[in-house]
Amino acid sequence: VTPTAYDFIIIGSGAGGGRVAYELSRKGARCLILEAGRSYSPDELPLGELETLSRLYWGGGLELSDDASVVFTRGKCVGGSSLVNQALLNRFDDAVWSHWREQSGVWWLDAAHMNGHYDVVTSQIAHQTLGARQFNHNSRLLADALVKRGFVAKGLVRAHRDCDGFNCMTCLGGCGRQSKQSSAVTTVAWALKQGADIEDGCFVEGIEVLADQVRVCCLKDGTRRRYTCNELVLAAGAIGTTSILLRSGFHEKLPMIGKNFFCHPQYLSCADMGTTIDAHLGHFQGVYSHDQRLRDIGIKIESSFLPPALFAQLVGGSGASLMSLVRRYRFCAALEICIRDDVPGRIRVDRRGRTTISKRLSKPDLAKLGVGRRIADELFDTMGARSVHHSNKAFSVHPMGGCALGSGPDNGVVDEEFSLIGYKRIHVADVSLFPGAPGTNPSLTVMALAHKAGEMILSRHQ
Amino acid sequence: MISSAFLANAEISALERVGDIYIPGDATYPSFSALGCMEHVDLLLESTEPADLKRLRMLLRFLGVAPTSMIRWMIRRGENAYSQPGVLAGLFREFEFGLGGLVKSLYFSGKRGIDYRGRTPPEIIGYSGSISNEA
Repeated sequence: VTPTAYDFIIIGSGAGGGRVAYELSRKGARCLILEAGRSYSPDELPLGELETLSRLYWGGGLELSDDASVVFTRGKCVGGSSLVNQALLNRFDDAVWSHWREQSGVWWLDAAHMNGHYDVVTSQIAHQTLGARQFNHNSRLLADALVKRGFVAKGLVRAHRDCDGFNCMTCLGGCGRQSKQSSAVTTVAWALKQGADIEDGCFVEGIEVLADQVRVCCLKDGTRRRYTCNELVLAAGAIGTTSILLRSGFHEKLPMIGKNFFCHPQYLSCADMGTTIDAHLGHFQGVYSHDQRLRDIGIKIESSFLPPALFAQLVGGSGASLMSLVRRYRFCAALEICIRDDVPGRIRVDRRGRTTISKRLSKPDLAKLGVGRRIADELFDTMGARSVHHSNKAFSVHPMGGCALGSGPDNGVVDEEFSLIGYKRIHVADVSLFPGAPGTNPSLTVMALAHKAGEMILSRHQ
Repeated sequence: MISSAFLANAEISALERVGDIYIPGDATYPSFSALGCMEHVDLLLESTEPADLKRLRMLLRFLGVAPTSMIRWMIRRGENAYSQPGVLAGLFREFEFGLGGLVKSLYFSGKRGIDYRGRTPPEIIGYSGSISNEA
C-alpha cells in the first residue's frame, strides 16, 4: 500500500464499516473511519427514550419514505445501527444465495463460500442462541402458540455477553453494560487498537476521484474538511452509501445507483391477554418462526415489543382510543410481522442534496401482510387473547440495497471484487450491496460480506 | 412560559393545543399540557433537519389558528390514511406520523415539566425497562 495521507478511508462505523476497518488496519494499512454520528462511551449513552431517539438515530427516529408509508430507523452514532439494533445474527439460506447469484452474476454468492466468512465473524463475537430458559413471558407465549399451530419456532441468536436476567429494551439506546456486541465495542474498537483513526460527527457531503487518490469532502461542526486516501470504502448503510454516491454524481455512469432498495417492512401486532405479560422485560425479542412455509410466503413472525413512546406511536390512535391501548401496555402479548418485500423502492437525492426514499408496498407485499395478520390472529387466539390490535404503520429497521452487486452497470453498481464498477479505488462493504431482500436479519451477513471485502481489497496489494 | 430555541411562542402554544387533542388526559393520566413535557421539546428538535423544522413551524402556525374541529378531523384523516394510496393520503400520513410522533414521543418519554408533581405516564403504566447492572 502506497504511503499517503491515509491508505484507506472508511465511511461508516457500523457492522460493515467496523469490520472492514479492522481487517484493513490489522494488516498494517493506515485507516481513517469517518462517522456522521457521535461517539459515546458506555456511561455517556443517553438514558431516556427522547434523548435516545434524538441523538442516536437519523431524523430523530422518524425518517419517512416520500409518501410517509414507511418509517426508517437507523443508527447515527459510532457503531451505526449495530449500536441500536438487537444484534440478531442469522445466516442466509441457499435460496437467498441462489437468487442473488442468479440476479447479480456474482459467482461467490454461495452458501458454501460464505460459510467460511460467517465462521470467522461469529468466532470473534460473543453470541448466544436464546432458549426457553431465556425467553420472557411474551416469547414463551409465542413459542408455544407457534408450535401448537404447527409451525416451527426457534430461539433467536443474539450477539451479546452475560445478558440473561437484564432488560434489553434499553439496548435500543445502546448498551451501557457493553454486553451487546455492537461494532462500537468490537470491530471499531479493535481497529482503533490497530492504529486506525476515527472522526465522529463528520458528515460526508461528497467524494471526488483524483488522478491517483480519492478525496472525501465532509462537514464537521459547521466546518468543511477534506481528506484524501489511496482507496475509499463506503460503508454508510443502504441510505447513507447510496446518498453519498448520488450526491457525488456517480449515477451518470452507474444508473443503477439508488435502485433495488428493499426494507423488510414490519408491523406490530399486540393482544390484550388480561393478565400481566410485561413483554418489555428481559429479552424482548426471543423467538421467531423458523418455518419453511412462512418463508416461502415471504413472512416471518417474531416476538417483539417497544418502549412506551414508540409503542404509542406504532399502535396509533388519539384520545380515548390511544389511552385504552396504552393502559394495557403491561398486559400485551406482542409480535412483529416482517415482510420480505419483492418490489424494490428507490433512493434519490434532490437538487438541494436531500435524500428521498420511494418505497410503497406492492399488492403482493400487502397480500403477505394480510396472511401474516391472519396467522397472528390465530396465534393470539391460541394464547387466549381477549382482543387483538394490528398496527397499520410500517417501520423498517433493515434498509437494504441501492448499490447492488452486479456483473455490469446494467444490473449492478458494485463488481464481484467489491469495487464500484469502473472505479477501482472506491469500494462498498455494507448492506447497500444486497441485490434483493433476504427475509432474514441482515447484520451477520453484512459483517461476513465486509470480512470478504477486506480480504479482496488487501489481496490486490499483495 | 416555555422557551425553545427552535419554536416561537405561538408555535409552542399550537403544539400544546394539538397535544391536548391527542392526549386530553383523564382521571389517571395527565393531559399533554398538564404534564409539562413541552419544556423538553428542544431535545427532539435539535436533531431535526432544517427543512423539516421549517415545514413543522409552518404547520404549527396554521394549526394555531385552525378550529379545533378541523385539527380533530386532520388527526382522524391521518390515522385512516395508512391503507390509502395517493398524494393527499401521503400528506395526512406525514402529518400524523410527524406531529403525532412528536406529541407521543414527548408525552411518553418520562419527561415532565418543572411544575408537574404527579407521576409520569411511563410510571403510571408501570414501565420499568431501565438499565440495571444487577440481574
